[in-house]
Amino acid sequence: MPTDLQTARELFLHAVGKLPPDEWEQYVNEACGGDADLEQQVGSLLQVHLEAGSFLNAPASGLAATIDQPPLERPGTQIGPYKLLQQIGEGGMGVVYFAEQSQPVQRKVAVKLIKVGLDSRQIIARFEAERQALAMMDHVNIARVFDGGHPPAAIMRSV
Amino acid sequence: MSDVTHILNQIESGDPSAAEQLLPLVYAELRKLAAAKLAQEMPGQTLQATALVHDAYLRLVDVGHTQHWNSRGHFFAAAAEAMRRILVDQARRKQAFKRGGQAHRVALDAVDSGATAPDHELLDIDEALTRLAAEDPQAARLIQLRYFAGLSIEDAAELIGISRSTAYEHWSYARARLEILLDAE
Repeated sequence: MPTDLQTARELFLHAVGKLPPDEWEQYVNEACGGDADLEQQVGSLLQVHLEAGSFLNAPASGLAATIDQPPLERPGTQIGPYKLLQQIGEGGMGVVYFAEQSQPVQRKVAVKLIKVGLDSRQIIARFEAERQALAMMDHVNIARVFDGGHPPAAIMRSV
Repeated sequence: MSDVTHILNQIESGDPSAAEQLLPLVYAELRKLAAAKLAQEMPGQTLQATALVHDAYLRLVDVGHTQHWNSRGHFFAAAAEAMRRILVDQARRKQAFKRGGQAHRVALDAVDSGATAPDHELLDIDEALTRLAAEDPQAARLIQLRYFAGLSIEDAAELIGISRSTAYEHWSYARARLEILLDAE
């Protein structure tokens, strides 16, 4: 640390640690012995110290739900036990992939993934509702829902 | 024994190359954990960086095999650095997104929500902290452990190997100095 900063630091810490705020000005004035730069430096440290409030008190939060968007889903992407093979359809809300499930059984399935950028609360709710509706149906011509999942996905029997 | 535990033990036994391997592992784990947790959250939620770091510690470090307090120090130092990079990257991406520079796969309503420091503030703090590290490395380490890994001043002091009173002096000075550096930017 440069000497001037070092000195400013020492004077600052002395004032903060040992003296009440109303004595700071006089102390700094005397301790700096006419060095106007130093006096100004210590003065502003003390000033921001008084005003610092909660600055940096709380750890950084802020990993909003935008971090680390997963790599674009594409053939070969593994989502849980499902490996995407090829895209077989696309609708307004989602993209459907033909996929291979490895666990607990091996089978071919269709995976519907919500479109990226559409994962707002309302759309996810709609997606959930559709998944729920599909899950209640069991017909040879209707895709059967095997699994839900995160990120929002519906795993269906491939028809 | 986990990779991280192994590396921590190597660092303990004085292998200088081991420390370099730690950061990428911790970084990758934090990103993975964040992505997994965010997938379970409703969009717009934010994750506590601190909580993530502690989860990562529990997942990565085999506590039974690392008796040394120092090992925790190495881990949290790496985690704080990793978390700082992740948050800074995220803030930069979001700024680029807002400027319309790049198309990102981001739901607009997920961007600004949550009680988070504005991105510019985080980026400014990052820059000021880099400058502080040049002037006063120990104080900057303390701030980094506190701010990015969420350690208490006391824990951070113990990890760095300084007394509590020294740590509080660092804290008090570094906070004021950082504000001045921020104002100067």
